[in-house]
Amino acid sequence: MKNRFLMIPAFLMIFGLSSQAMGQAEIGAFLSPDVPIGSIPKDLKLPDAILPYLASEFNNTLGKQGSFDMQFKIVFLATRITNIPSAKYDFLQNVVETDIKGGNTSSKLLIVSPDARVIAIEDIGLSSNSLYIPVLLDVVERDNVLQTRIAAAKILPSLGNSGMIVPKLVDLLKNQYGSGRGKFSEADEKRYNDDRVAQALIETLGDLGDPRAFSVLLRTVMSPETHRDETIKAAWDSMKKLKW
Amino acid sequence: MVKDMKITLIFLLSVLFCSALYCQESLKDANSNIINTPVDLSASSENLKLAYATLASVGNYGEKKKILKIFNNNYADENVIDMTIDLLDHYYNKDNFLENDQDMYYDDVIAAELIKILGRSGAKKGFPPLLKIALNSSNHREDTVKEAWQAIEKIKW
Repeated sequence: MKNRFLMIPAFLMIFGLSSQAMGQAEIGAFLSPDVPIGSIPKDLKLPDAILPYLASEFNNTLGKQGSFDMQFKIVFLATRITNIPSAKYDFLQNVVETDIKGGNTSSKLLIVSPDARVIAIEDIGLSSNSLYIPVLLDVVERDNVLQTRIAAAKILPSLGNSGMIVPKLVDLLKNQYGSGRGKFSEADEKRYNDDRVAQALIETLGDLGDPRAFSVLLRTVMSPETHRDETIKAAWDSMKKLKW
Repeated sequence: MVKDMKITLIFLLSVLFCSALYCQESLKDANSNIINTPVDLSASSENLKLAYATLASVGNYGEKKKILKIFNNNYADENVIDMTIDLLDHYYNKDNFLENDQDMYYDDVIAAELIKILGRSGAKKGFPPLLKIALNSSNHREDTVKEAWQAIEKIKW
């Protein structure tokens, strides 16, 4: 009997720890291993009132060498803003779009930390606001950074299925990321990265379950030479998830 | 004759030794008086001016540590909060911080104390300087940066 009483807190503790670990894994899934997340208190709860300071500090970092860590911390603080509704999403959108708007064509010319942009994308996803679907679609289509493109692709379903996501992803898979291209080669770094994004897009189409994705998924599995094995497998899995 | 001279010499040396000993003890007392003298810890205008001037000066670690008691004792006072913010903004956030530099190191210890005071106040207006310190980790010791994050957590929004 006594043991049973002891088991309850033990179970709660294990459950608590594992769910905490899962939460961290989700946040960290797309981040660089050396990101300075450990130096910031996890339980911070902040108000919109801090946004002007964050925006000002963020703008000061733009174009400065070695400022990626600082940008990450600033954006992390913005994600800790808890009031609803919040103006933080405008700031986060700006963070996500700065490099795309600047027309950067090379990942060597980035002025915003990719890790900062990833956590901004993740937090935009938590808003569940379909207004931000075009922002994330823009990232998938025009961004140069692998991790932000994958993060945007994976987070899109959390903003709702407005009807505009599936046709756009299908189009991107057919043309920019898809089987219309020549034979896949792992030696081609750009092609390899693009195929990882393709895999993320295919997984997202599976999560959405929209039957309009069938044709592009079929096309993908029928042309295995144009993708990695993982991408082909993801296409089969997504086909199974379609809700007919 | 020689014996008399020896005795006189020994006597003079003894007198000299005793007076030296006495002087040393007196100095010790004087010093301990400086350290132990209870400072007036009120937030009077004169006290705050003196505290601010001392904390804004270079070096003087011992004096700064002592005078901090005034700020510590009056952490919720608006003038103390404003002065603490001003000090952190203008005197304790240096771009060229070197941990090996003794003056800079001890100044940063004082900075950590000022941050603690600001944290205790929970004042919203403390956020900008605390944010600057938390973000500019190369301008401070690791402990000071940690204090800044903790103080940010304590702000009563």
